Amino acid sequence: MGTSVDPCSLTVARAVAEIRQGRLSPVSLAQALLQRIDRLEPQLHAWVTVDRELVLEQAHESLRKLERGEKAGPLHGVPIGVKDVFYTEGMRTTAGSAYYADFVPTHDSAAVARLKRAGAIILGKTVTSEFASAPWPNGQPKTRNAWRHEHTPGGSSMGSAVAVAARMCPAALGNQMGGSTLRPAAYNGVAAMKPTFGLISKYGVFPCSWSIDTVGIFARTVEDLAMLVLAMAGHDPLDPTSAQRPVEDYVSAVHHPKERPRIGLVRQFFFERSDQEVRKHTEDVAERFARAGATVEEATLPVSLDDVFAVHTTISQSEMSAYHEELVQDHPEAISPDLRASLRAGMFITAVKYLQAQRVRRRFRAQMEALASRFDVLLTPTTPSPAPRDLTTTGDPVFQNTWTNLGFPTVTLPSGLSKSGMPLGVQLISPPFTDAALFSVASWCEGVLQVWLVPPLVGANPDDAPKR
Amino acid sequence: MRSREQLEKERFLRGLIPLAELERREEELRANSEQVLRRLTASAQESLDGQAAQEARPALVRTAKALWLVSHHRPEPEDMPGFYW
Repeated sequence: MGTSVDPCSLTVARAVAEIRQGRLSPVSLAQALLQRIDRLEPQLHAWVTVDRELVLEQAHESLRKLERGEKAGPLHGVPIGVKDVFYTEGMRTTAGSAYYADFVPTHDSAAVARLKRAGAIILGKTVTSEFASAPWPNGQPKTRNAWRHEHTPGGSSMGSAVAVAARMCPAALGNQMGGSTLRPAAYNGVAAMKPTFGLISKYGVFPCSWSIDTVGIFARTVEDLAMLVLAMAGHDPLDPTSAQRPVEDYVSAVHHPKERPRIGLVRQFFFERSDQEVRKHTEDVAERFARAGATVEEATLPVSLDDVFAVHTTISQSEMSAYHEELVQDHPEAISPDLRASLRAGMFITAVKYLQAQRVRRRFRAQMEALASRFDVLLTPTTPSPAPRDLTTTGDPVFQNTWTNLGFPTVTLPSGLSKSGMPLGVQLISPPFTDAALFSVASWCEGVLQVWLVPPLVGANPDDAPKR
Repeated sequence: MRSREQLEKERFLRGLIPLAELERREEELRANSEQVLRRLTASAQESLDGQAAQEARPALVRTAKALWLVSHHRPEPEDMPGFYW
C-alpha cells in the first residue's frame, strides 16, 4: 500500500477514502501521526496519554478487518484524539484533575464507543484544564498555541484544538460549557462544531454543568465535522438529557451546500466587544458572502446578553457545585484554589434562584429562536480578538456562552490571519435541531472562504487544501 | 471591583465602549448587587472557616451580580423546566 501525500495532512474524509481504496494502510497512517506527535509534542504539550502499543494494535486490527473483507465503518482506520474528560475503557482519564490522576475507567463514554463502532482508532487523550473549567491545573501553563507558543491556546479543550491544528490527528473530541470548543478552535486556526444540546450523548463524560454541557468536535473541514457528528449522534437512554429526535444525514447536507443563504450579521454586542481588526475582518467576511450570493442583513438581539450570562453563571455554578460537593468537602486540597472558591460560592445559590434561572433561560431560548429562525444562520466573530499573548488566560468565552447556554448548534470556520499572523474565525449559529441545515450553510461558507490555515511549525504542504 | 489595568484591557478589547461607561456600568451593578452579596457572605461566614470564606469572596461577588440580574426577570407560568427537549 502507498500514497503520495503526507498522511498527516489528510482530512478524515480523504483518509477514509484512501484506506478503503487500499492506497493507505491504517498502520501507516497511525505510525505517521505517532511520529508527528513525537516531533511536536515536546513543544506543544497537547496530550496527556498516548498509548503507542494500543494505537498500533488497533491499527493492525483495522487492517486485518480490511484484509478479511469485513465491512468497514464510516471512520474505519482513522485515529481520533479525545479530550481527557471522556471515559475511555482501560485508558487513564484524568479530567485535568490531580484527584483523578490515576483513574482508569472500565467502560467507554457513549461518544467514544460510537466512534469505535464507526471504525475510528482512539489515538490518545488530549489536555484539558481542571474539570474542563478552571484556566490551568494548579496555575501551570502547559499546552501551547500551535501558531505561537507565547499566545494562549484557549481552553478548556486546548489539547484537541492544538493537536488538530498541528496535524497530530485529523479530528478530535472536546466539549463545551461556555466556549471550550469553538474558542480554542479559532485561536488555533481549525474548524469546530458544537451541536444542538442533547444531540450527542454525554454519558461517560465528566460534567461541568449537565444542563449546558455539549460534546464538541474539532477538524479541518466541515465535511469531517459532519462525519464525526453523524457517527455519534442519536438518542442514548443512559443520558437523561439526550434528545429523542431522528438523526439527519449531516454528511449529505455538507455535499449539498445551501446556495444563497440568508445570513443575519449580529453586530450588536459582538462588535462592541471585538477589537477593531476583528470587527473589520468580520465585515469583510460578510461582504464576501454577500458578493457570492448570500443575503446579509443586520440581526438585532431580542435579549440582553449580559442577562443571558447571568443565567449561565447561576445554572453552571449551581450544577458544578452540586456535582463536586463531596470532593470539595472531603478533599478540598485536591482542587486548585480558584476552582475551589467558585465551587464553594455556588453552594450558596438557593434552589429557588437556580430554578428561576432555568425558567428565565427557557424564555430567552424561545426569544432567541424566534430571531434565529428568520435566517439560515446568524454570523458573528468567533472571538473578540486573536489568541491573546497571555498564558495566564484561556481567553474570553463571551461569544459562545449565549449559544451554549441556550442549546443552539454553532460552527466556527477559520477565516484568515490577523496582521500579527494569528488565526481568526467566524461563528455560524442556527436554531436547535437545525444541525443539518447549519452544516449545509457552513459548507457553502467554507467554499466561499477557501481558507485552510497551516501553522508555521507544521510547514507548508501542497496537500493542505482539502480535496473532496 | 476590577483593577484599572483590567478595565483598560477590556476597553482595548471592546473598542467601542468608553472606559467611563464601563466603569459606570460596573459600579451600578456592584451597588445594586450589594445586598445579595451581603446575604451570600453571611451564609459563607456561617458555614465555612475564615480562610475558606475569604478565598470564596471574589467568586461570591460574581455570583451576587449574576443573581441580581436574574432576579429582574419574571418567567411566565408555563416556564417550568424539568424535561430537556
